[in-house]
Amino acid sequence: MAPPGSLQTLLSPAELSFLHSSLSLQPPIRPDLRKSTQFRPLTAETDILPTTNGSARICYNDGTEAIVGVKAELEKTATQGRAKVDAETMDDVEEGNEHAGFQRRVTKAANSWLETSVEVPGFRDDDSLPIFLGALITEALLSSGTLQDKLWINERWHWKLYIDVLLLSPPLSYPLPLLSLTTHMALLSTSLPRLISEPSDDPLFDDDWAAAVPLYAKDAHGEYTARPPATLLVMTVGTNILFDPSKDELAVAESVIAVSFIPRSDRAASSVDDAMKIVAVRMVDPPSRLTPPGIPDAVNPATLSASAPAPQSSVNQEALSSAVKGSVWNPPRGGMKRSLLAQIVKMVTQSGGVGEEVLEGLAGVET
Amino acid sequence: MEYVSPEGLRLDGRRPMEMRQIRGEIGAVAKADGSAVFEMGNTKVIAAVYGPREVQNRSQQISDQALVRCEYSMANFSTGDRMRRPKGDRRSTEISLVIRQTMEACIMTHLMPRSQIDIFVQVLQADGGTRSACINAATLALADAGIPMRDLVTSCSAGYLNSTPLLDLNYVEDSAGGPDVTVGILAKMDKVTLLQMDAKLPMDIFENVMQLATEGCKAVAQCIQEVLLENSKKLEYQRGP
Repeated sequence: MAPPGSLQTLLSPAELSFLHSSLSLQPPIRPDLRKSTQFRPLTAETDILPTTNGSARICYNDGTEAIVGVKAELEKTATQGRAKVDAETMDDVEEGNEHAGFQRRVTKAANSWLETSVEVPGFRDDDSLPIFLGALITEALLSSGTLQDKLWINERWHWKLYIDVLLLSPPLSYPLPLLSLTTHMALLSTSLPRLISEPSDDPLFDDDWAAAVPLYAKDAHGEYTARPPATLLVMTVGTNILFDPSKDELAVAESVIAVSFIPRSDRAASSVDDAMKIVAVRMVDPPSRLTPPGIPDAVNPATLSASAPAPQSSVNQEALSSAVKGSVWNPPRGGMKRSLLAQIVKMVTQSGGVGEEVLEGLAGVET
Repeated sequence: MEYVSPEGLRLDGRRPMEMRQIRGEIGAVAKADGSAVFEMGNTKVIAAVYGPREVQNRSQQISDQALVRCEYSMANFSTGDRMRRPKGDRRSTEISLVIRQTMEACIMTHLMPRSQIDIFVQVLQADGGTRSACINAATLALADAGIPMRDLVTSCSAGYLNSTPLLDLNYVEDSAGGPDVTVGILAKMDKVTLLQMDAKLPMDIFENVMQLATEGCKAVAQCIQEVLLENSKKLEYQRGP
């Protein structure tokens, strides 16, 4: 859907250095003057494709755009080996094993009931980027643990859910949050046909699409009782934490992590006042590692004669280059401080934090 | 199977010479130079045009005209049953070629030497007539990108089932196995640029069916012209006095 664009930024070392220093200020000055936790505006619409079970389209104002279609198919549950696991679970229940509840869920639903494919323009299906993005999205969906259970019909039948993610624009900035939020919206709009047969019979469904049961139901107040996970990209520069980095900002990121979260369902019962629960965290290799390093005047053969006396011995050169290293742009190496990581997680999960804000924003989207 | 009822109604309630509802919208992909969504009933196609711009692969550069490239792809969720299809399978390669040739026939490539125009077509929903919908979407997107063309190419299909010529086949009628004639015309110049039929049909009936498809193309052309006019008005309004 788009010509293969380069993931690499075309900024010079001097521009990178400028960007990096303005992002390391307290508070950081971002190129588009956003606050550090502020998100870029986006346009979203759901239920755009009537032949899918659920669909959504999100467009950021920088022109990146994605469409997600969710399709459900009826599938027979493989019974091979399941009976044995069931028996084990039964034993566990009898023994009063505290993990029994968990195991019973495992026997009910399987991770293979969910399949995600990501299409990125300019990449083949088996290239690493689409597969990595697909894995990140699937991982978060599966580890939230509630989605698989919703696909269970009875002992012999289940829904198989296919989530197809299409990136329409060239992958300008790291497209993970875009794809994840679009998937989130599509899943919220997903409905499955209503079951009209007896629970234990071979399933028979209502032809009336208007009667279909939404995958994520709303309660009496019109709020979702549970929600699919959302994934955010967070980058750090120095001690600054920046949410939703743009392409240029990513080019100077010291480290980038992807945080997936869901709203806590046990919020009222628990003593901790967190609004969100982390379901997946992953370090992402920042594109800044591929940026060209700057060359200080003192060691640049082109400007050497003008700014410095004739070259001295190689030992002096070494000393010189390490002394001026801080003055020019150098691609960042190394990871993230643990305290910083903890701070990010706190900013996402705390009540009134970034996570809650994002989900509230997305809930405001009307179909 | 009965595709036309004794009352003369088709499976989806249309008359034999009735088209599905068509809708065009310009500017669907923000990043592209030109883009459009085109719907024919339940068939929904999105097209994006990039260019004219510098040729990416120098060895493909043509010194006296523009290089036109086209990529057609079908979303996994576009069909009734979800289908996993690899990129560049035979069918999509063939349709890419058909679209490219049709569009190339009307783009004034000689005005843009040593440049490249990329047309991307993505089928979001397939319900018969994807080929026609793709060509119509590509025309809209090319016009949106401001690429000089001789005329607007529009396309429509027609078939022949239950000894009745039918205009604008949907998926059920398309997969009935009867003859399916896809026609692409330059509406104002009244010239045929695309003609495909994958079955046999007596000559006199073929004439009828083709005539019907051509009428369909003209109807599409009118719709596309309205969309373009509306878009131009909007642009002029946005530009101000």
